[in-house]
Amino acid sequence: INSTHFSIDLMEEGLQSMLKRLLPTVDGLQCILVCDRDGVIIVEVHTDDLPPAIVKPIFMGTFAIASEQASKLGVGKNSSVISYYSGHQVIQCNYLPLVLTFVAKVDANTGMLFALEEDLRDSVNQLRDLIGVS
Amino acid sequence: SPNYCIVNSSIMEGQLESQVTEISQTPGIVGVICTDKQGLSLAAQGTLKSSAAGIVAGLASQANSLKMGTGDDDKPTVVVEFDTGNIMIKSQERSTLAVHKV
Repeated sequence: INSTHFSIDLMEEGLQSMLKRLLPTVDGLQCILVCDRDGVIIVEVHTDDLPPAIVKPIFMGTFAIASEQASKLGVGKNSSVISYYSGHQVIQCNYLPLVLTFVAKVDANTGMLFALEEDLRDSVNQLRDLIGVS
Repeated sequence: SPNYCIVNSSIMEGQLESQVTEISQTPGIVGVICTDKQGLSLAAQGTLKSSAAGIVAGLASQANSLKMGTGDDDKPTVVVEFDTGNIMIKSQERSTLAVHKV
């Protein structure tokens, strides 16, 4: 049990510092976080200008439900949802039971954020495997 | 023999698709992509896949932020040189077009 806990800590610290390094690479990106299906945050980095209301479980928890419903449309498994709001955009990526979320200003480059997601794919998959059961 | 392409003009993006197809049939052109300002792909053919859209739009917008042009309409053309060919990226007001030429 101790060694698993230790390696999860290492993994989290590795992921956290990677996210911190990647945060300034896209103009307008304000937050990158990994949470579980209920919105409990596992790893998170954000800039100072992020409105605090966004990083709340009630906001994050809706993705799992929406994604599962979207997967029933008959065109395959839902991989991501992009939501544009008046001031922000939120990109949520399906790694259920984990969710990878990017929060950025509304005029930020969405395509670049998807390119960033590709860079993080292996690490988030590793984290998901470490956590184990869905 | 000439290349023919059958274009479905009754679909929403038919006109854009036919333009992109015409460009990609030019000798030497192996990839074409058209993106919007948010870095999302509008049309992509050949070596330039839709996953390249974000980077293409990002490069164009970063180059434009040098603000060396004479006005809003004077946007730079970005040329990315490889040993095997070039990718040329040009922005208009609401879209960006990139072409891969060998």
